Amino acid sequence: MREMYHLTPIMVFLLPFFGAALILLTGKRQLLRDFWTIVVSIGTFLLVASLVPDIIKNGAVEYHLLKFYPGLSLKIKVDAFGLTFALLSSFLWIVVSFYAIGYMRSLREHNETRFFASFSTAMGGAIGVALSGNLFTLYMFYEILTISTYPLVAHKETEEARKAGRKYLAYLLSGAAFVLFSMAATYFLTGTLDFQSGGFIRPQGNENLLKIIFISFVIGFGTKAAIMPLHEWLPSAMVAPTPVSALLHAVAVVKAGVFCVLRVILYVFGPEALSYLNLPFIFAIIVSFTVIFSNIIAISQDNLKRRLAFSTVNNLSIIILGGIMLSPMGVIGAMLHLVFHGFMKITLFMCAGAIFVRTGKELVSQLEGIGAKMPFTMAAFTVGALGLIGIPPVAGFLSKWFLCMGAIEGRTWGFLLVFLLSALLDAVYFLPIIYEAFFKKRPYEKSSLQEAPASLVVPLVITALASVALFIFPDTFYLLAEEVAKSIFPGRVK
Amino acid sequence: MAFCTFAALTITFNISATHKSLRYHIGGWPPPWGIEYAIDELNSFLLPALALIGLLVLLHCRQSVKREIPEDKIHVFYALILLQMTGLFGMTVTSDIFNLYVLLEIASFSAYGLIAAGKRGAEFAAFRYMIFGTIGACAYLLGVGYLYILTGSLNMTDLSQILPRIYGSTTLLAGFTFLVLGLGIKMAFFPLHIWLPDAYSTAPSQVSTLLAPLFTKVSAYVLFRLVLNVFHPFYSLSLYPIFSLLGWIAAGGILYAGVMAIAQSDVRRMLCYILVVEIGYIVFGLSAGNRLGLMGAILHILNDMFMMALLFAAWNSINLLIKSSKIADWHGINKRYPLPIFTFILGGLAVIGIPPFCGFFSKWYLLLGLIKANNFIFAAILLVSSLFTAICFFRIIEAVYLTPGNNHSRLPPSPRTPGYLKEGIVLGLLTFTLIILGLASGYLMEFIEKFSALGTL
Repeated sequence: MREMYHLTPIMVFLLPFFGAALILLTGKRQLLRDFWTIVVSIGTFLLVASLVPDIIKNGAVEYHLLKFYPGLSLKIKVDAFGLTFALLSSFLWIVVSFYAIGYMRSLREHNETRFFASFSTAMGGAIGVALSGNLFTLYMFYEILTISTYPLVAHKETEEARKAGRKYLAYLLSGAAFVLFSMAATYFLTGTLDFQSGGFIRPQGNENLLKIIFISFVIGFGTKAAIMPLHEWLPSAMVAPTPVSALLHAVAVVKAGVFCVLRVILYVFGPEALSYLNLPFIFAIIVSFTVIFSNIIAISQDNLKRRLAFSTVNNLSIIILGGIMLSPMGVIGAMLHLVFHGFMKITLFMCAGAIFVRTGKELVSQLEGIGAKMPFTMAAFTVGALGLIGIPPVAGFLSKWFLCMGAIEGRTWGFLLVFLLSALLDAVYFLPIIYEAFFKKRPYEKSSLQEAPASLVVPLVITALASVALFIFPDTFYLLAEEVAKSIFPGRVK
Repeated sequence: MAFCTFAALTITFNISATHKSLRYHIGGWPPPWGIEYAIDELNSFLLPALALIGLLVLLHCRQSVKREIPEDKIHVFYALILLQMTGLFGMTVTSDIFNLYVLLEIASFSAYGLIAAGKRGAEFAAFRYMIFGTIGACAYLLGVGYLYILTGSLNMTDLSQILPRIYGSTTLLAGFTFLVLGLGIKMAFFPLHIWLPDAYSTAPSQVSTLLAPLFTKVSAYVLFRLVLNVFHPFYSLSLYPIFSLLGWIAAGGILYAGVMAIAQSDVRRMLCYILVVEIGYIVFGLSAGNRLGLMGAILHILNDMFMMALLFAAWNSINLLIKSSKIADWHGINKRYPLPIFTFILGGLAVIGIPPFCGFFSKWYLLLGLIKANNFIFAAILLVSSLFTAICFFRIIEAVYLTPGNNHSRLPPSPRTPGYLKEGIVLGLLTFTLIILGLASGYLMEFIEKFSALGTL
């Protein structure tokens, strides 16, 4: 492990929080405030991106910021795994920023300063989670992320929004308590909290305590990753403004949950300790249940955002399933799906938001003939939906391909079936939307062109194009994913 | 007070540089006959904390004193406050258990007087506090009496050398129990806390701002001093299961007070119950009985002083501005007075235990201590009660940030109210301290670890 001598990672850590402070300070002047949002998001992305070549070439770097007490320190670790997530969130942050500014202005929302400041803090939390080098640092940013998202969820300040906010906090803070317990117990057993490829918990000793620790970790981070039956908060949180839903679903919050679960599986316990505890199979069964069941619920949802929410629950569990299969291909697939799902799902959410801004429609059953009115939006929607089903030439095909390969590699045919069945169910609830949008017409309504404002349409077209582009040029993310698989399963990757 | 702070800080730096305790013999009489004041690793960092909080609270409270205390009584009021601080300082530095009793009573009596100056109902609350407090003081004095009969000495160092010879004695056990009981009342340990919510929520607001962070914590410190220094930790923690029993009571208290805190509609009463919860944490540390737990508890004494000081001070500012302490009246006041609200919320996050605020670190070490003692039930209760505190504070966050306000437009905008800037600076300083204490917690832990009695664990 190399020590680090340049300051980029620290700047990445601090920039979003600095941005939040700037936004708060210049809140009265709308233009300047929005300018900061954009500048900070682009700056963060560039900083993260500048780290990529070095990491791919030379491997991970670590940096101790501050030591509290033996075993407890603030530590940055830039490895392929964290960098993938940081890259994803910081890039999508730029897109969502443009979109959010357009969205908030079109709807003349209130309290925009608080909104953008919380947004920036939340992104800081997500990137902090990505680049944490030990469980303590991870926990800290995880909490920052949770708390800064709360005002976003309850942004509308209606009774319903406040209720959703309460539910969100109740779930996530309880989850954090579980995490804290596991963290303390882990420290008690091993005397360290630093992540290590392939895990730092030795497969020996008190088996029951280790099992409890793992289960408690999974419950803790699983609330954020919306594993059933801990997913309840996610559909309720849909009352938030659409950019927030996009942030929750594709970029920061739930992805951070998945990221943490994978961190625990691959970097705290590791394949060896987990197999020793006989846990992967049981956990995989629970996750498979979530994969299938959430998709079945999604079919019955008429509210577009809620349908997308359940689709998110489904995809998150697919990613976790890819990780817990503990095969190199599965891990590569999970990493790729983490990224690609982000791009595709954010496209879909931004489409839902654009439709709402333009027409005020929120239900799937109202979308007949909308394709003619908003062709760009719906085209982007189609791309995202096809990607989630897993149809080339959209990136979703690639990640699902690797996931299936992972299932075959581990000779776990049941999970292969789960992946395929889930793709089938995806098709069942996405294709009708596309069909109704383009091939049906609503009587008594003129089908003239009524596209949403450019600040909404351009971002979603960009992410849709990016989803396709990632199918053709997945190299960067593939290299990062391969790096992860190599470090976790030494000798098992060609 | 500024002078006190400076002096205390000098002493601390001196101690941290030399790691030798500083001893002063009053009147030139050598111990064990004379009264000795001693400062070592256990109390040297509490002393400047006390002084600093006292100073900041006094700087902060001028406006509210003006409003709540009649003009012709103000000088008496400040005199009582200084007397209070004298008592607390004395309790922290003395190394003589009878002298400690005297100083405890000085602090308590000035507290009764200060509390009785409050709004309607304060006289009764102060009276009840006085009855409880006196019972506590009696119990403590009885304990001192037992010890004196057995050993003929009152000096702590001296006692710690004599006592091990008679550890089998039942009389000693009775004395120890009385001491713990007396301090339990003074530090508002459940179920002996019942005086606290009434007394502190009817007292003049600046009095609760001063007493809530300090008094209970100093009593808790005295308990640590007895447990670790006067008695051998082996006696107080291992020989009899007193503290594992107290741990269960604390567990009940933490849950009870947590629920009560959620049930309050008045912010100050809510804070009072949270204070009782925090005292329960400190006893948890004792019940863990290992080094990490005890160090966590000692760190928590320090952290909690500052957290409570910030919360009560911020509450005081808000209460002064909108003249109401009910959560229902706090709706939407963020628009009007963002600064005190923001610091209040940050203090709340510290109490919940969000890193990098200091509250997290003491909880972390307590948690480690409890896990090391194989006490998973207490560990779970610690976490659950953090959730209770989270409910309390997020209820307030929801009220002040996310609920449309009612008729606050009649209130003057913040910069025009007198003392706003000064109070803002004090609150900002306290918030800053919470972060500093969090970041410096490693240094503090290493400092506490040097305390000799911990080495025997």
